[in-house]
Amino acid sequence: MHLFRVARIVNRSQKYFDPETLAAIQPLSLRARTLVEGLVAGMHRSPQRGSSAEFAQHREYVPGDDIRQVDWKVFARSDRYYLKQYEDETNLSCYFFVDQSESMDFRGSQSPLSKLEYVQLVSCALAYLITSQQDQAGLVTYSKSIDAWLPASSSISQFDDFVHLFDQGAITREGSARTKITRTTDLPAAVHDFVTRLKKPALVVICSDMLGELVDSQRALSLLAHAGHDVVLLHTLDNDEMHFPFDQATQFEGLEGLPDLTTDPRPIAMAYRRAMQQFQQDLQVICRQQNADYFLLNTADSLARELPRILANRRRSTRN
Amino acid sequence: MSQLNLLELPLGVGFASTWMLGWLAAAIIPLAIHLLLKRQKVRIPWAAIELLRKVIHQESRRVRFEQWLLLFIRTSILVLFGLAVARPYWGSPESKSGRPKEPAKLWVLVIDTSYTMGYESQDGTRLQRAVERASELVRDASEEDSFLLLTLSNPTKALISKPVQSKERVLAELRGIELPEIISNIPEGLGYVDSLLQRVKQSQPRKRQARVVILSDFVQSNWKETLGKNKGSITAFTARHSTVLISFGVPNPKNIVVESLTCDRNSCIAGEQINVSASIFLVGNSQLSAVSVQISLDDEQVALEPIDLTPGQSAQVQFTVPIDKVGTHVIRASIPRDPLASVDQLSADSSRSMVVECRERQRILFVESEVNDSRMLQLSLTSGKPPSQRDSYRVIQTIELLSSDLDQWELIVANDLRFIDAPLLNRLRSYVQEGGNLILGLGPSTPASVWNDGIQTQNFLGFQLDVPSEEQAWAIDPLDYESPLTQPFRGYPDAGLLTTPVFKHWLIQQPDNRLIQDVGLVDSGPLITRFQYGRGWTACLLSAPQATNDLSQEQPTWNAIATWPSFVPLMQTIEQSFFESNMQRYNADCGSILEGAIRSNTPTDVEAILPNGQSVQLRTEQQSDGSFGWYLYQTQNAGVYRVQQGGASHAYSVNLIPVTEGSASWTDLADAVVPSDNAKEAQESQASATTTQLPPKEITSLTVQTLLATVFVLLLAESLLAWGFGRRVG
Repeated sequence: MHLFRVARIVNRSQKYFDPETLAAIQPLSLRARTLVEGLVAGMHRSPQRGSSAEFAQHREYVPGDDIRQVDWKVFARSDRYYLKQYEDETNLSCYFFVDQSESMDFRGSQSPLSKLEYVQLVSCALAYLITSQQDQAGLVTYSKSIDAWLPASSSISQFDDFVHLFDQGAITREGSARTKITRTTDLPAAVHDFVTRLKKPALVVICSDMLGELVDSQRALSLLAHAGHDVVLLHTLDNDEMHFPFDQATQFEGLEGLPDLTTDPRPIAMAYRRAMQQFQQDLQVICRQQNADYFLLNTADSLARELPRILANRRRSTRN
Repeated sequence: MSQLNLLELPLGVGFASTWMLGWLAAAIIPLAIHLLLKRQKVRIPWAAIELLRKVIHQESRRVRFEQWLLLFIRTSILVLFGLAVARPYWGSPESKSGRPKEPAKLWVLVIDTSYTMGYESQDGTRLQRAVERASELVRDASEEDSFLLLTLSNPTKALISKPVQSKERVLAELRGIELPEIISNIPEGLGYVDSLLQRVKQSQPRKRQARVVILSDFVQSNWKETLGKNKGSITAFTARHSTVLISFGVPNPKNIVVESLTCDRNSCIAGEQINVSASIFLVGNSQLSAVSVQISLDDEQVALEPIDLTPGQSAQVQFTVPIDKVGTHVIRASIPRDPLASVDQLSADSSRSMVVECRERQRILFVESEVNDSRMLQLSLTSGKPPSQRDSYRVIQTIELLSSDLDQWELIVANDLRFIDAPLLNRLRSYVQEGGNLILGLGPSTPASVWNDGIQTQNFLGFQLDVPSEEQAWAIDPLDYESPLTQPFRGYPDAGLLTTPVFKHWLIQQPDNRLIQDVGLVDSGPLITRFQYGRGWTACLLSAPQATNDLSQEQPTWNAIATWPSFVPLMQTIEQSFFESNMQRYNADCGSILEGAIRSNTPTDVEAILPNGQSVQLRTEQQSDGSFGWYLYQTQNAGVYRVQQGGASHAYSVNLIPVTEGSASWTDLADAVVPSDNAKEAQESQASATTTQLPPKEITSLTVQTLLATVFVLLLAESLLAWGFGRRVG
């Protein structure tokens, strides 16, 4: 994969990845395209060119091997037959599993984007990179069950389809808000539906705040692992949710149909932060158990920092 | 501390600044803030609501404990601060020791009734406040407690001298306390309280702990000796009795005092003028200008002069008052009160009066042994006076003394009486005793043995004659010109007094302690003496004036006094001194006894009209010589007292003793009760129930410091805990 190179490209065009800059751009199609143009601009400036075949190692020739793979230059130097082996170039099929429940609409005081807006951008950017190297990217949005399914494709128009689907989701959510229909989350049900419908193993990138029960999260990841999917969890949280920076009596309004809570946040701030850290650690443990990659995203952080981090770490875990 | 208005609770805990307890209301501030903030909540949609709910559930007990702890600390800070600024003190060592129930006490309430307790503020006079405070103490006392009540005065009086338990009786006595215009005799008063307590303790089968409460304004001039550091009697007093001092005075009050009123003479002949001088003193901080001083004669204004007053200083104002009418007159200097009510808190000392006498002429009786023996004396006493004011006089022989009505003569001049005997001496003595004045010349003809025998028991000369001195030129000793007789010669050494020729004189023996020696002779005895006997005076010239050295007579020459320039002023000054001295008894201080003679051999009704208009019948007493006198004891108030006797009325002026100082400060009181070098001992002895109580100031200071230190520690703890509990969001 060439994704680790893209990380360097992203770093050179950071202005396109700043959440505050992106938040000022409407609608999503334009916002996502701005982000992608940032990626493209970075690639154009790069002297590197992507290659579909990456050299892996040399191996001694044994009878039966394809003689077209013999490295004649090595033979000329050492008078021995060595095969030049390349990494296998299988077509990657990647599904972005995006949570569209009410809790993902939350945007804290220090974040320019809501959690959903943030993961939409991340999904679009990664999907563009994937399709640009001829791999397939697909999109599944879910809340209580799967809301929409965009089959994986390496088509150039797949990026536009991503944006279109997200826009449709926004319209649906607005309608739900108007009719006061609560959008709750049921990750295991959505995953179960997904693995039932998708037989071929794929890379599944879950974009969610995972604020449901840990048991549900464990079950969902377990289902994906058993179905042979490679799982990456982009655990997306708002900065306020992580640091709880409140200093006066507050009525916390419950989302997804949960009742409100009124409390003085100062005495419990430390305990909340500890609980949140514990929650993240528990998720990490579950991911490790299910051989899934875990990335924590803070919606206040720049995508210019988050995307390379995801790509670089994903690259390392792939090698391992 | 400007004023000590102490609140003492029945349990023994009191507050020096009661009004500061209002700060305790601030204790509700933390609660109010808590409730206010709780109402002012913000609304935030929250995704991680389940996580938050779990955290709140887990932390609820801890959070509630922390909130209560912080609320308690914050409230405690404000409560303790409120208590500290109210300056608490422990009224009794027993309550401090935490006894479950206090034993019955004997409250000894001592209320100072010096006239300075009449200082008036918005809350009433000091006495009213003291009575109110004492009433509070009585009402708050236990039903088993008993009371003694005394007024600290001159003399100190016990209104309740035996312990009583009836609070109504004590309250009634307190309500009846009046304010005389005298200054209390503090040492005598404390001594009386001391002795009264001793008597009560001895007579009471049931021992009660006595607590003396002295309510006074502690005026410095009056309490100076009592409060004197290390030697004042209050220290010894408080060492014997559990004592609480409650002060109603201030160190710097506002007051205008007519400090003194003097006349150049208080006896004059009709048509003369008297020069009056008044001294006005301003107590306070701020200067006053154009303060009117009014001079009146017999209640009619004769002068009004504005003066400027500087705090802490006297201002003199002088007037001339003409007097034409024969009789006694009252001259008064006063400050009109109305415009000065705000700067003159004490009206009692804003007025001062004086009685002067105006005579038509002087009536003098000259007694001679030989014809023209007293001629020089006659000339000396009548010279220099205008004919209308010349003295009326008569000359008689010695023997006529027995038959003459001496009462019509104000002065008898007897010079070197040769033919004197016991009945004549007795006649002269009675004359002096009843208020007559006698000038006696003792010379070569004077029979010493007759005189000594005649005055052996009732000596109206003030001495006994010894022997004549040796004959030589004796030099005059003016005795530092301290006598009013020699004061006119002060600064005039050539006026003739010092060079008066004296060659021989009588030496005296057994002089009375009260004998006044006006002029002496160097290296010898006195030359001129005065002595008050009864209500009259006797002046003796121990070398009788002789006009000439008559060689035809056998008498030796003793002096040439009568021909010397000093003779006339000396004789006239002696005459004047008699009337000055006589008039002094018409001018007295508050609290002193007024007395007079009844000029008859039978007791007659004598009536006095007091300054408040009340009429009282005076007490008459028979003297040792059989004559009668009247006595007026009710002179507690300043003003003019008129004594009426047989149709004649005589005015007496009674003035208070001016006080120009403020009250003792707390430091003075504390130092006096517990001197600094004895403080440790006093503190140690405080542990036992029967020893001296520390003055409230000492305990207050310690308690306040402790409370403030606790407040500081609590503030520190609150900050640390609030930070630790996560109140301080970074």
